[in-house]
Amino acid sequence: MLQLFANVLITASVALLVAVSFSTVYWVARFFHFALGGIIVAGAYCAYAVLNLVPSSPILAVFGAALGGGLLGVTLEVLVHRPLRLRGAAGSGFLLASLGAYIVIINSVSLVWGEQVRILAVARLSHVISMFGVRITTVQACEVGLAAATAICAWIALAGTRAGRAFRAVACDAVLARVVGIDAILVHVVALVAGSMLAGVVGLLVAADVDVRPGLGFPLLLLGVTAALLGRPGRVSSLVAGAGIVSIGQNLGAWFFGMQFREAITMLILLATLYLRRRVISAHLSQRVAEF
Amino acid sequence: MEYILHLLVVLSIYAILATSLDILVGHMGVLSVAHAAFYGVGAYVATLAVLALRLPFVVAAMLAVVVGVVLCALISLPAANLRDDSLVIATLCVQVVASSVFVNWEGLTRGAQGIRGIPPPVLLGVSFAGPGRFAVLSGLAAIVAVTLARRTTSGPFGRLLHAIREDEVVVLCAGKRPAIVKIVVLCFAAGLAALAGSLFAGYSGYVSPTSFGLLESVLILSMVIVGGPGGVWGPLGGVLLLVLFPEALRFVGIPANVASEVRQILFGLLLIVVTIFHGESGLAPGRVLRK
Amino acid sequence: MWTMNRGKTQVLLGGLAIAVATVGAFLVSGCGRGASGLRIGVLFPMTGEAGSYGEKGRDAVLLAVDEVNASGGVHGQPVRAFFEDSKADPATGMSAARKLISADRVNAIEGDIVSAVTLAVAPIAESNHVVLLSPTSSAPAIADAGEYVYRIWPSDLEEGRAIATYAATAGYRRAGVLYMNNDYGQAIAGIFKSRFHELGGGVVSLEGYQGSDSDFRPFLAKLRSSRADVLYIAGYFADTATIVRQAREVGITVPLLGTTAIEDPQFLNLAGPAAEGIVYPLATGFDPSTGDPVGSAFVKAFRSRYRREPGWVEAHSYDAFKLLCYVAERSQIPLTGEELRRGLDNMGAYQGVTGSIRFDRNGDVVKPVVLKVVRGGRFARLR
Repeated sequence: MLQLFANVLITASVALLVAVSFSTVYWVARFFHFALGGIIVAGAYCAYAVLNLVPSSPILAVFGAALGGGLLGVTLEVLVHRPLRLRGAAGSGFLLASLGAYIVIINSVSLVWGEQVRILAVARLSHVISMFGVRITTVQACEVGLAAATAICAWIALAGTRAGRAFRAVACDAVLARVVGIDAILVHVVALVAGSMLAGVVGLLVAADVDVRPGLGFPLLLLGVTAALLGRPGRVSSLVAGAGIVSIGQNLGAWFFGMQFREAITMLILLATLYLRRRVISAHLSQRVAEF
Repeated sequence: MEYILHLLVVLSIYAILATSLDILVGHMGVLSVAHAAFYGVGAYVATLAVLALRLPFVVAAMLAVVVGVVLCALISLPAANLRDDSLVIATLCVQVVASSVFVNWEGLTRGAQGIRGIPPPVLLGVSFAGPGRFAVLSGLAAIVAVTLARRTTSGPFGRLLHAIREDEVVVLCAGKRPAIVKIVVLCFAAGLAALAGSLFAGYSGYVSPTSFGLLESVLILSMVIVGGPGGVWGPLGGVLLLVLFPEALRFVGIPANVASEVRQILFGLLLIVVTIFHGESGLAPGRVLRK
Repeated sequence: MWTMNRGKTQVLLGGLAIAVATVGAFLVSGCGRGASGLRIGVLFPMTGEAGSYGEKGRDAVLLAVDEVNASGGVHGQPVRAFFEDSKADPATGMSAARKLISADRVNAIEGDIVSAVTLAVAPIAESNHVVLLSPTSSAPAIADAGEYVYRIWPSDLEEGRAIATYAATAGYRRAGVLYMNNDYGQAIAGIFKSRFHELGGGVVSLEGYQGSDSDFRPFLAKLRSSRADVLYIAGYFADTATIVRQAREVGITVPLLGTTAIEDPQFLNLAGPAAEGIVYPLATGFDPSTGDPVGSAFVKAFRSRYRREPGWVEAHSYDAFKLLCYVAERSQIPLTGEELRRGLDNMGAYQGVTGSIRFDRNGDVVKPVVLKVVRGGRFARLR
C-alpha cells in the first residue's frame, strides 16, 4: 500500500538525518556520540523559545534550532572532547563523557522548561497533504525533503570537494591523513559543527511533528545510530541503505508482528546483517593470517 | 542504620555485576551493553523457580546461573567471530531483544506489571530477610565473585585474555582459538550477572522489566569505565563512586523544585570530570584522534 | 603506564571518600529524630520518562504543605515534606524509601505515582510499619501489597470494566486497542479485552507502544484494514494526544475511547481539535466541572499559585498529602506507623478534592465511575 511506503519513507528520512549527524563525529573520532541526543533536544527547545518570542516565523525557528545545535556542539568540543583528546583518552572514556554530557544537557533543559510536554507553535501551521491516496503532513514532507537534500549534498561534498575528500581521508585513517598534511582536528571540528546544526534542525522537525519533551532525543538517537552502524565509514550511500533497512524493519516489523515488537525486530535485522557481513570480514582475516 | 545496610547490599550486587563485566571490557577488550539482560534473566529465572517451582533459594540461584550461561552460549556461538565493533553492536541487539521479551512475554514474566511477593531467601533454616541479614549473604557472594574474577584474569588465562584484547590475529597465529575463549568468558560473565540477578530478586521481593533495560546496562558499563577497566580494584572504585554519589547527594539540601534535575546534572558532570581525570587508560575499540 | 594506575587509585579513593561522606551525612541527619512535627516522605518520579507527572505532583504537594502550615500545622507543629526522586525505577525507589525511613525518619510516605515503584517499596514500608499512601498507582496487585499500603486511586478493574461496558452497550463489536506497554496500559487493556469479550464484543487489533514512541502510523494503517468500529487508547494524556492527532492525520474516522488519565488540561492543548468526541471514564473522582466547593477551592488556589489548571495528578497528590495530615491530626502523639494506620482504617469518609475517600479492608478506595466526553474543546459529562 502506498501509505505504508510513505511511512517507510518518513521514518527512513528521520533515521538518515540522525545517522548523518552521528556519522560526522563517529566516522572521524570513532566514539559513541551520546550527547547527540542532547543536541537534538536542545535544537527543539531553542526553536520553542524562538517561537515563543516570534510566533509566526518558522524560518527564524529553523535558524534558532541550527544555531542552538551548532553552539552546543562547539561547547561540547571545547569543554569535553578537547580535554579528553589532550589527555589521550580512549574511546570508552569518550563514550562515558558523552553520556555525562547528555545527562547534563537533558536535565538543564528540564531545569529551565520543566518536564512537561509542549507543542511547538509552528505545528499548528502543519496541515495534511493528500494525494494518490497517501496522507502526509507538511512537516513530514519537510523531513523527507531535508533528508534527500542532505544525502545529495553530503554525497557531492564527499566525492567532489576538497573538504569532502579531506574528511574521507581522516575517516579512513586519521594518522595517515595527518602525514599528508590534512589538519585532522579541523576536519573533525567542522564536521562536528555541521552535524550538530543538522541535529538541531532534526529536533525542531520531530518536535513540530510530535511534541517537545526532554526525552525527545534518545529514541531518535537509537534510530539513527542503528542506521549508521549498518553503514560503512565514508559512504553516504551506505547510510541511506542503513536508514532504509531500519525503517523497513520498524514499519514492516510493526505491520506483521505488532508495534510492541518494533525495536526487537529492528535489532534482529541488524544482528542478521552483522552476521552476514562477518563472513566477508573473516575471509579477510584468514587471508591476513595466511600472508603472515 | 537500615539504610546503610541497604546500601551495602546494593554495593555488593553491583560489585558482582561490574567485576564480571570488567572481565569482558577491561581484560578481554569486548565492550558489552547486554549485561543487564543477563542480570534480568537471572532475576526472572530465580523468581519463577522460587514461586512456581517452589525451589529453595540456593537451588533457584544455581538454576538462574545455569540458564544465564546456556542462553549466553546459544547467543554468542554465532557471534563470536564478529570483530570488535560489530560485537558491541551485537550486544546492543541482545539487550534490546531481551528487554522486549521481559516486557512482552506476559505469560512468563507478567510483563510490565512485574512479579511481586518473592520470599526472602532461607538458607539452612536461617531467613535472610531485611537488609542487615541480606548484606551478609550478598557480601559473601560478592567476595566469592570478585575472587573468581581475579583468578580468571590473572595467570596464563588472564594473559590470554589480554592478548586477545590487544590483537586477535596474533593469538590465532599462536595456535589459540580466540573465538572459543570469547564464548567461554562471555558465558562466565553472564553467569555471574545472573547470580547478581537472583540476589536482587531475593532482596527486593519484586522484579519488573524496567530494572533490566539498556539504561541499566549502560550504568554498569559506566561503573567499569569510571573505575578504570582492567586491573583489580578498578570496577569496585567505579561501583562505590556511581552508587554512592547519588545517595550522598540526597543529603545535600537543594530547593525542592530543582533538586532532582540539579542532582542529575551533578552526576553527569561527575562522569565527564572523572573521564578527563583518567586520561589515558582503558581500551579503545576503534581508533581515536590523538595528538 | 603509571597514569592508568593513578587514575584508578583516585577513583577508588574518591569512592571511599563519598562512602564516608554518605555514612556521616546519614548519622548526622539521624539526629533530627527528636524533632516533633509530622514528617511525610514524598516519593515521586521527578526525572526520566515519568518526570512530567512527578513534577505536577510535587507542585501540588508544595501547595498542600503551605496550606496545612498556614492553618496551624498538625498538632501545632509545621508539617515537613521530604521529596525523593524515584525516576520511576523500582531499585531507585527502594533506596529512596529506605533513606526516607531510616535517615529522615518520616512518619509516612506518599508515593509512588508509578505502580511498579509502589509495589517494590511496599515490602519495605510493611516491614518498617510505615504507612505508604499512593496517590495514583492503579495496579490491581497493590490491593494485596500489605497492611500499611493504601491508595486513593481505584484499581484498574473499575475503569477498564466501565469503558468496556460502555463500548458494548454503545453497539461497538470490533474494537482496536492500542495500549502503552507499561503496567498501567497492559493491565487496563487486558481488563478491557476480557470484559468486552464477556459482553459479546471482540478485540480485532491489540498492540502496545513504548512511552517514548512517537510514530503510531504502522498501527493506524493496520487499523483501517481490520475494519474496527472503535479505537480504545489505553495510555496517558501526552501519548493519547499524539495518537489521536496522528489518527486524524491519516484519516481514521472511527470513534475514540480513552482512559481516565486523559482528563488533564494539557491533553486538550496537545491534541487540539483531533480530540473532539473521545469518550472516557472518570474513575478518579476529580471533576472540576461539577463545581463542588472542595474541588473548586483547590483549583482556584492552584491556578493562582502556578497559573495553570490542575489535572488528576495534582489533585490526587494534593489529596493524599492533605489526607495524611488530616489523619495525623486526629491521631495520638507519638505518630507511629501503627497509629496512622489505625487512623486511616477508621476514618470513615474523607471529603477530598477527588471526591469521597473511604478505604476498604485492602486499603483501596471505591469511587463511582462517570463517563465523560470531549465536546467543544472541553471535558463534559456524557449525556
